[in-house]
Amino acid sequence: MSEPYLRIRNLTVDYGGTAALQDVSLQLAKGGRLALIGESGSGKSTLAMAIAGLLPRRARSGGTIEFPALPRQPSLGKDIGVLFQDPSGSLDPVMTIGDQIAEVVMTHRGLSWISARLMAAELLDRVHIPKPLSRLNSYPHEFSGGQKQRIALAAALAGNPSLLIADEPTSALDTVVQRHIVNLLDELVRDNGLTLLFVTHDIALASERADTIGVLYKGKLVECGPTAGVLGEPEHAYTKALIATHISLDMPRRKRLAEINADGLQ
Amino acid sequence: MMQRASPILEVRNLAKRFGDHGAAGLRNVDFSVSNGETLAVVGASGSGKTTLARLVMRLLPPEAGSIHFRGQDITALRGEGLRRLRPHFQMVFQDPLAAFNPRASVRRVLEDPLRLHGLAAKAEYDTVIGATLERVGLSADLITRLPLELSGGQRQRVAIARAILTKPDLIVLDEPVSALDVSVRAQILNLLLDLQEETGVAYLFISHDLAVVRAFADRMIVMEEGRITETGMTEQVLANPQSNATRILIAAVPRL
Repeated sequence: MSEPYLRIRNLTVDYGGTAALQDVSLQLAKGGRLALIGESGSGKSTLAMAIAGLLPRRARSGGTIEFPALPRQPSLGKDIGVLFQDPSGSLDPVMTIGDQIAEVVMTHRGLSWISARLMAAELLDRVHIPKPLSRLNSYPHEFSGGQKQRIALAAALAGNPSLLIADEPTSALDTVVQRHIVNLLDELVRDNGLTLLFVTHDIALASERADTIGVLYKGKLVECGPTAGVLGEPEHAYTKALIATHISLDMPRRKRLAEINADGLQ
Repeated sequence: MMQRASPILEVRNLAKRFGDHGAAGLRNVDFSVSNGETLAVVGASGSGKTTLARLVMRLLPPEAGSIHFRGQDITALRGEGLRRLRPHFQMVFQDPLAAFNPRASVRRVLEDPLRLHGLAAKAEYDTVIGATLERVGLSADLITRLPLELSGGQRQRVAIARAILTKPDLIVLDEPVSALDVSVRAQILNLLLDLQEETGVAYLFISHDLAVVRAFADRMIVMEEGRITETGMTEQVLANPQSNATRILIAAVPRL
């Protein structure tokens, strides 16, 4: 088997006393699409941020994160692009979107300012922002939530990264816009041969979009494997409970919704 | 099945315009909610769901049309008359953090409705609040906490406690679970279902998530660009959608 793109061994992260991640090991193949699922506080975002090199300073970590496919330690923006949940939080409100994207292009691709601005328009076109050249001088607040997330995606891709990390990229959006954004993610990941890691609490979304699913529960990676296997034959009680909470549109309505009973899980 | 029961809320030809060209807003919105019923209002962002919720709550004035609550026309009701009716229709917002004064403890948040509507003697406040907190699945010890010291699910429970303190006939739920993760979402919806069974409260449930609507609502209306494009029993609408807007919403639901 060829070298994986990403290899994590015995990763442990704690934020001063409380362990956020315990002994996590996993591998991700080049071009693979990994979904990390789990509830709030499960450690899924911590794992994603540890890979991005974006842990807060107070975090202490042990174990190793390696990128065997890269010739050097990855640099954020150039090798790894990150897309966050809240696009308003990742875009600078007082800088035009053209400048924000061009800045990344100039820094990581070494282009002149004018070429970088043209490249920014090209990137905006790739995320389907209409009339991109005329929008370069617009500010983030002039766009809807879904458009802002597309612009943030253009900025994340501006350094031409080989890994895209998306941390709950659609949790703040409605289901219709969510569908557009994940379709776009799919398209860009395939067209550019990117490796994708995305964090979600929605197991159905993970099942549609990932070839590998990792389930985090209380800081531990309790299950990780091919999507069909994790869904078809879940091993861990939490994974089973998560699958049971899924509401399908064609299931008859029940009196109550399935809950996850924390006492029944270890 | 509950169609023929007396409506708690009746909305007739409601309209609201925003901006100059009048493109955004609501047009000809017509529906009713019966006693003890859950009516879902679904639609994509910008379809007018939240505007509708605000009009029903009398937080925004409509341009045309009327709103009847328990048979009374409240469209133009103001001042003391509106204030007297307020305890009977309550609202729970999407983001409970934004719905609370960040410096007010849970006690202060829940004292307000008791004081404003004279629902209990001052000496009984803590007892009433404690009992209500327990009713929504929280420990009475949380009474001294600030909103920031609560989890998202706990905050939404406090918001529900605030809404039920006045024993309302109708609660407008504006995306009450879309900011919560899956396990907490089910707990909150089950709490709302239990409260409805106990008290017969009716819900106007605003949501963009058809899976949740499927599990929670008796009937639904689908909105697009400020108009109702489809209405019916939830199961029938989902099994046999008639409008394009509904089909787009159905197609957007992730499938396992």
